Amino acid sequence: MTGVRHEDRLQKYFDGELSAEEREAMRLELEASGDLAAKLRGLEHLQKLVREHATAELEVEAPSNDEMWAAIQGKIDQGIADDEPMFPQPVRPEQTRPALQVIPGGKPGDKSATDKRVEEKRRPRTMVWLGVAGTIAAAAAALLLFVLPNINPPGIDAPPGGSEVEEVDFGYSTGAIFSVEGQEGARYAVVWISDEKPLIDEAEGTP
Amino acid sequence: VSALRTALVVVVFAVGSMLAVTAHAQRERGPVPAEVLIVLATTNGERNIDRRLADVPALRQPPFNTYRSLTLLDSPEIELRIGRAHEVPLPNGRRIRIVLREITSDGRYRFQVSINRPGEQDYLPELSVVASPGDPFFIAGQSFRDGTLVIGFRLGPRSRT
Repeated sequence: MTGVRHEDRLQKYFDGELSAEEREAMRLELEASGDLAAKLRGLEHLQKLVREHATAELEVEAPSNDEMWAAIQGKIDQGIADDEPMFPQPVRPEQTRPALQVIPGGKPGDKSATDKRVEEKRRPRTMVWLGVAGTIAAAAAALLLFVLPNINPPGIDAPPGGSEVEEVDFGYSTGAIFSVEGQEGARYAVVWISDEKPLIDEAEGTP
Repeated sequence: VSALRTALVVVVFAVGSMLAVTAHAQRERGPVPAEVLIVLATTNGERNIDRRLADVPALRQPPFNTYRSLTLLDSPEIELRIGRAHEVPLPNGRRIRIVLREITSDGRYRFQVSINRPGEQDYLPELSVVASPGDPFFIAGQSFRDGTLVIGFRLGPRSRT
């Protein structure tokens, strides 16, 4: 028996394609020949490698439609959140995943570097508004301090001008109230009061 | 940083409001300048009108124009504050007491005047007057020397006389 035939029979033995008599004869030869037994172990090792590789290839394949619908229905029935993975097992080995940039969430108080950069961009605008607000406040103060005291409020005419007596108590003196004309037709009040004490009637006690 | 910025804005507006309130209060409570003209009017002698009375044309109107001489004896300038009395002595020994009561909504001055000897009420017990800024008001009739005293009052900035 040549080497090629031995290997051919060994392959068929390994694949289970020999008859019962041929398998018994091959088993006896394997017991007798260490080289032949070593070749058989080589075939077994090769088969193991091929199976492992085939399993990895199978995992890469996308699930069938039936599997996908079954998984979706399962999530609906179990109330699983959408962000949980539908298929827990990794779709790809970890090493082959593309590098992803982590974008921080929007929790209040969390200041990421991105937020700080945005804040730094906004700062000049805030300072401008601050300056505008200060300028408006200063202008309002200046308006009230210097301008408004010199003008009359809207709807109120300028003072009519002149002077007038509202009330007078001459006491025991005699007097009169009249007015003189000034500029622009204004009337100025004059109180003329004598400083001579009138004679008092001692009997009646009245002037 | 945000709190500091907010505080800064609040401070700016607070200072502005404070200045505005201060300006308003200053206008309401600030002293009002006033001038008292103490004039001796006589009918004797040459006709002589004191040059310093040139800006009081009302004294050239009747009955003041019947006097041949008008001499300005004194013209004290005072500052009146609302509710605070101010006294001005007269050459005849009496004293003028002036109290600014209020500044009316149309910008006029309401004030009270009394003229008496110290501790007495021998002449003018009470007089209440309203006058526009710069416009005069007169009290006349007291005998002094060989004439009559004419006392003019002007409150506030002078605009016309």
